[in-house]
Amino acid sequence: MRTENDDSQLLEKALAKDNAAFAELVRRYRDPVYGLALRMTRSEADAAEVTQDAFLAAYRHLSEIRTDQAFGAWVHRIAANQALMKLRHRKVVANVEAPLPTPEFNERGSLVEEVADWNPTALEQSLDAELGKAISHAADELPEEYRQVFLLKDVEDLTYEQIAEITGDSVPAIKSRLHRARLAMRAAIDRFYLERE
Amino acid sequence: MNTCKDTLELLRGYLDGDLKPDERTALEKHLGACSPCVDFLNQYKRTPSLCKKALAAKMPRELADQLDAFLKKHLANE
Repeated sequence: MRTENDDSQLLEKALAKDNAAFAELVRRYRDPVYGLALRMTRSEADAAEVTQDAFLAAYRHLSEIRTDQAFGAWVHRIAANQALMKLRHRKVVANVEAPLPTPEFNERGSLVEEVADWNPTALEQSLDAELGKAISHAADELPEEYRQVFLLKDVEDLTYEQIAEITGDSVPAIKSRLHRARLAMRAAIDRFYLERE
Repeated sequence: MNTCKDTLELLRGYLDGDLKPDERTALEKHLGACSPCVDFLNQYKRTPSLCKKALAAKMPRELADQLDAFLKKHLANE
């Protein structure tokens, strides 16, 4: 089983210019870093480029990593930054985004929507695969600023402060977007289960 | 008393422990009397873990090989 110590030992070796140690760190973290980049950019080509650039930047700035920092979390933040830069570059052609789904209430403010049963069924495995597709599609449909915050907080487990540092947005703005994004993702999952009832 | 709408608006703050004591009390009072909101809260809580599992991606082999080649080339010149 891998431990943080294993990573820190590899990091020490990589700092001493042991490229094989750095290659091992890349091998360990390339999938989650690529996954984050893919979800953020929604493009395989951009995600591959972000992943390359993130690891190259990590190598060049290895001496800046604090001894109490985990390499994985650090390289994820670099990748998130790289992906955001790419997205800002791409924003020249802005796309029109649909409004985010929100819960439905009556005039007295009471919840009126039907809520599905999310408990796994006997068809759990095939349901998992289909649910995965529905979630993936819903994440891709989130407006960019909401998707970024949702991915960085709920998928990558970054803190609000780390996200604020990366995006340049305020923590209250990030918290508000996260709530809207979670509501939209919850609605997508609920819709998936309702359609199968 | 809080409505469902008021309650659902505060869910993130509730789960993060960000609410003021009176907001938390009002929310919990509403939850104590509203099972649809309890169901909604449970779904809201489960959403991140379901998404984390679903959004995990593996780098395609071809791209992983390209990454290796790219880094080998650049690291040799550093």
